[in-house]
Amino acid sequence: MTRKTESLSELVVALAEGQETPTSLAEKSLERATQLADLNAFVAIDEKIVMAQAKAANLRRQSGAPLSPIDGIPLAVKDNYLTKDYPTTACSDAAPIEPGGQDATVVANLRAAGALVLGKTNMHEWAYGATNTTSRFGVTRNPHNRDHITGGSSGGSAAAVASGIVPAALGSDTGGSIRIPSSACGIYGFKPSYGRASRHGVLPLSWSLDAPGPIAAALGDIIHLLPYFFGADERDRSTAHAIPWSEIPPIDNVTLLNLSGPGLERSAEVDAALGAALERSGARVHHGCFAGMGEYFAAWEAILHCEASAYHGTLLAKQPDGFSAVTRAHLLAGQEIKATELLSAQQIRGQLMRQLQPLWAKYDALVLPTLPVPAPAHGENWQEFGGRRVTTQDSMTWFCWLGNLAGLPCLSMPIGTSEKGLPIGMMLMGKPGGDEALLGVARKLDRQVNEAG
Amino acid sequence: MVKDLTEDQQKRIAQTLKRIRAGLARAKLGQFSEPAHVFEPEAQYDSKD
Repeated sequence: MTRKTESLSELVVALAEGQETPTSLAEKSLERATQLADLNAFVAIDEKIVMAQAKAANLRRQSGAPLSPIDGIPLAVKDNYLTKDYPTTACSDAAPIEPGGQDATVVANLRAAGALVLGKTNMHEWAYGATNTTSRFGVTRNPHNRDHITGGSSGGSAAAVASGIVPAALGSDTGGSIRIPSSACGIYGFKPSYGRASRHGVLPLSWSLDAPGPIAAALGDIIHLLPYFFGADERDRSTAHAIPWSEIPPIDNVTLLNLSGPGLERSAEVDAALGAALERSGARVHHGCFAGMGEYFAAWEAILHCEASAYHGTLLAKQPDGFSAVTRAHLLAGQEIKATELLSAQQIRGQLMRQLQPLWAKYDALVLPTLPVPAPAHGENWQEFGGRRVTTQDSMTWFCWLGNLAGLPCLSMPIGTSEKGLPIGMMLMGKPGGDEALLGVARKLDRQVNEAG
Repeated sequence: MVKDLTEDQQKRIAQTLKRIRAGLARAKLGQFSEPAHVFEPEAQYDSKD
């Protein structure tokens, strides 16, 4: 069961015009979360905490002093963001972090604007997987079809938005964890350029690949929320030179490069949906074969496992049984990678950036499907497409990790549905630091692909 | 290597390492291809930690 999610922008208007109040919105979100408990999107919701926040927002609005246009709007937060009023578990059995009065920077920024934290959302354990089928709280179910996965690792956040519980939610992305579930659930998800959005207070998976970002029912809502993510944060050194958020530039003509080649295969159904969307988009579309995916994937995987192993090493030694069998195997693999191999991976990463550099002068964005297949069914361990047979886990990250390895801004947007009614998404990737320009391109395409006609 | 691993875990570790090493070995790196740096010295001084 899905319904059209009321967008953040619609709720901003409803609050401003007095059709809704923060308490009425909070009550509706709580009621809907209860009705849709079978999705398993949330791992912690405390009605008293939510209503206390809503009542405070009510008072501010009644006194004519809302903190911002989003004052009183409920949002959902992935369970790897620190929140001062809920425990943070990353959906792992190992060492949950009890509420300690600290919010992640992005959560603090949103609270300062009056946004309500409705609750914490289900995720793949430690964000170390892309299916949302490994969690101490159980699997997350896709609102479009309960028998199918949401993808992950921000699967609970995507399910909460796609089912209309909240207009937007927070996610994190190391190899596609915002974009994958956004695509599988038919909504929008944005991974900012590395170094522009603060990671402070978001439990790390891989320091040099992680990015926090929003998931929302409408592209305009992604744009509305990004200023709360962006800017220098003295507690996150990667943002020391962050370019401040700026207005989305208007764009008249869009030129895209549609990538293909070995390692970029996709199912016929997804390829047809992408082709049709590009046709509708009115953009000039060039086609290019992109080489080196095998080497680049090896570099991403080496960096991911090494950094995750370094972060989790102490906890893994103390509580090996606190990690799932697969996560433990990944962490132990990371410990086996040699320093020289990690440096080779970083050399390859530099090579990828140099290979991409000339493309940014010619194209407004690079295009791929977000996923090579629609959301797989629960229990399906393998996917076959384009002559490939890969694990469901690898099929989920199939395209997305490239954007993390190169630090690119990336957006997943819905473009249609499969024969079975499951959503299909398109991914746009832009120049590092060019987040606003990429969103300008996306806004132009979205109007043609999803709003025209 | 840790001793109490299941056969599946041992297989996963071996396959992951094999896949990574094969991919890294295929890369043709130039003589002067410096690794991408995450470390930015000036960024460290901006922190108040």
